[in-house]
Amino acid sequence: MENSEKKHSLSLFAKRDSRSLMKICGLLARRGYDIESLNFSHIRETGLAKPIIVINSDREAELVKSQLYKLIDTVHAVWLN
Amino acid sequence: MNKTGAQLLVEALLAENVSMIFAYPGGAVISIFDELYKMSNKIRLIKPRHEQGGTHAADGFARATGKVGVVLVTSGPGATNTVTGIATAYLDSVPMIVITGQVSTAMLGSDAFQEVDIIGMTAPITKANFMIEDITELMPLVRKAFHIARSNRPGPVLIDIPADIQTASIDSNLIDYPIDDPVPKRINHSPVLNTVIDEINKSRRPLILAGGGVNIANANELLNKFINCYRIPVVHTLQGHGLNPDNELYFGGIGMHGTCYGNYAVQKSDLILVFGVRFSDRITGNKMKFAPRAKIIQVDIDRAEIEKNIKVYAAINDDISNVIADLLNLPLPTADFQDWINELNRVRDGNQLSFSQCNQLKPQYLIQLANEIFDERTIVVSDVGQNQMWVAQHYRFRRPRTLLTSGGLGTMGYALPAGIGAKLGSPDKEVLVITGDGGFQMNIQELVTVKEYNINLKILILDNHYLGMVRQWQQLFFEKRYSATYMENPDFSSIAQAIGIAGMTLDSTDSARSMITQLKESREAMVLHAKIEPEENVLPMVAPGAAIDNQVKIL
Repeated sequence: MENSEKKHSLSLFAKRDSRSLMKICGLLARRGYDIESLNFSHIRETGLAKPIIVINSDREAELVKSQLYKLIDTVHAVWLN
Repeated sequence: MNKTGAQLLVEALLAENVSMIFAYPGGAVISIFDELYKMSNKIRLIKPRHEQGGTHAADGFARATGKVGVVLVTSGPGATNTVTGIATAYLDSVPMIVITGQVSTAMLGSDAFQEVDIIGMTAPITKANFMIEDITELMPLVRKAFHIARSNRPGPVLIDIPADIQTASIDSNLIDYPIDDPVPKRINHSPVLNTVIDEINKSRRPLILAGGGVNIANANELLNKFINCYRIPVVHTLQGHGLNPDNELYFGGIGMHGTCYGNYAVQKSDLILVFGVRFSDRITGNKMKFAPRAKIIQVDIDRAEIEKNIKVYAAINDDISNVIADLLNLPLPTADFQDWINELNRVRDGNQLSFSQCNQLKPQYLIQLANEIFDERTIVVSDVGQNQMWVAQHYRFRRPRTLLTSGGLGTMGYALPAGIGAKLGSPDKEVLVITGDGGFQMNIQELVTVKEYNINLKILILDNHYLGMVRQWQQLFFEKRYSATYMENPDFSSIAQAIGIAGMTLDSTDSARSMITQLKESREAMVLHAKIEPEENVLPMVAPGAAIDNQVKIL
């Protein structure tokens, strides 16, 4: 079977606490996105974190972006590359 | 002036115009209940018999009124008992605030008595959730929670408040409390609206598909106007009930138990305008074969719904009311669709919903009778399963927000407690609960709540001694191996009477009309236990995974 999975790299601004990491990973897991790598680093003196996540999915990257934006109060910005 | 967390919470609730809370007390919220006791002239407490009942009641209150339903429970089991109700509200986009008590901050993470990570548990089924870890955050976060719950696509929000935050005190002048909700910006959709008009003009078989979003946006009137101006036929999902079923352009519900002509319309259409629909599998059937000839134009306030399940030709991400109002301001299309309307009418004439007449009491007949006897303002709350589908097929909903049903999660046990909330929220309207024997027993304890608060609720139980929808699948797909679906049931009218509620039993077609009239006329709550034909099926039906025009019509 042909493997249609693609890698998408996501770069986020998120609230800086362990709950927000849980919510982001939980969303990716339950929507069926496989996490290939993850970096969750704090940005000093901002209350923000900058997660960088590489996911595997056969779905359009835009879909995961709009799902991540539904984490109101957790995710503030998403870039895809 | 110093105020405690509990006082600030009650103040914040009053600022949101909360006048009723579905609340079950416990150790971790006792200080909040103490404040509410002092404020009992402003906020009425309704105590269910189980926290799940409380969340469904808040859900019914919210769906019936459009306001935010509020629930207050204690930590641990109080919190976990709300999970089904929260998920029900989440799947059907119901605005709700659930306030849970939590163990004191110093004990968090120690597996203290009645400690549970409710934030972690409800993260996937809430629009947002947060724990208040600092008393200065309490009022602003409650404000924010209400705003999130009711704005854009509504949904449940959970606020977890540790016991020490409730008792801590602070000078209330130090709290930075935002007053106004941000005003959403109007978006100019001109280019895509022109595309919509062009496509309507090019099409020969256009169709409108209305979903729950239409009711949530209070856009029924606008949509009816749009349908009549453009003369485009309309079909709807389970949550899309409430358009005008007497309109000649109305072709009923679609999907697994949709009408033959509604499903036919979708499969033959060349252009479908979709308003507030999330394309659940119960609507689409086999997605690869759904609306094979149609260009789909999707209007939804939730960006994440666009193309989530179905590829679309064009999309508008905005409030349905705004979009329809904008469309109505554009010049009307010149195209005429009378041939298409005539074709659909011919299909409708040959495929009316029907059921076999025999000596046994038929549930479809009871629902048609209820539709005839209860007035059109009546709010009908269905449970889940066969009773729900019979209601959807045979009751004619003429007004928005008159069918309350758990569509997305399919929660058995929803109807009775949701009916309680609907009646308390809309005391001037009749509320009719139509449930099955299985679902009724899942939250049967709430009959006591009906009695305690003298709620004038009319309850019709369609008792076929089976978990009927599962039995129907077993009959169709498992060679009648009725595994665990038979129900040995009590006499529900005796149970009602023991609680102090009038109860009647209906077991013949002859007395059906007079008993349903009695149910309507009763000035107090009443339970009507109808013993219906045990093996009646919901038809037509689309087998899971089949195309929606591949319907089983008779067995």
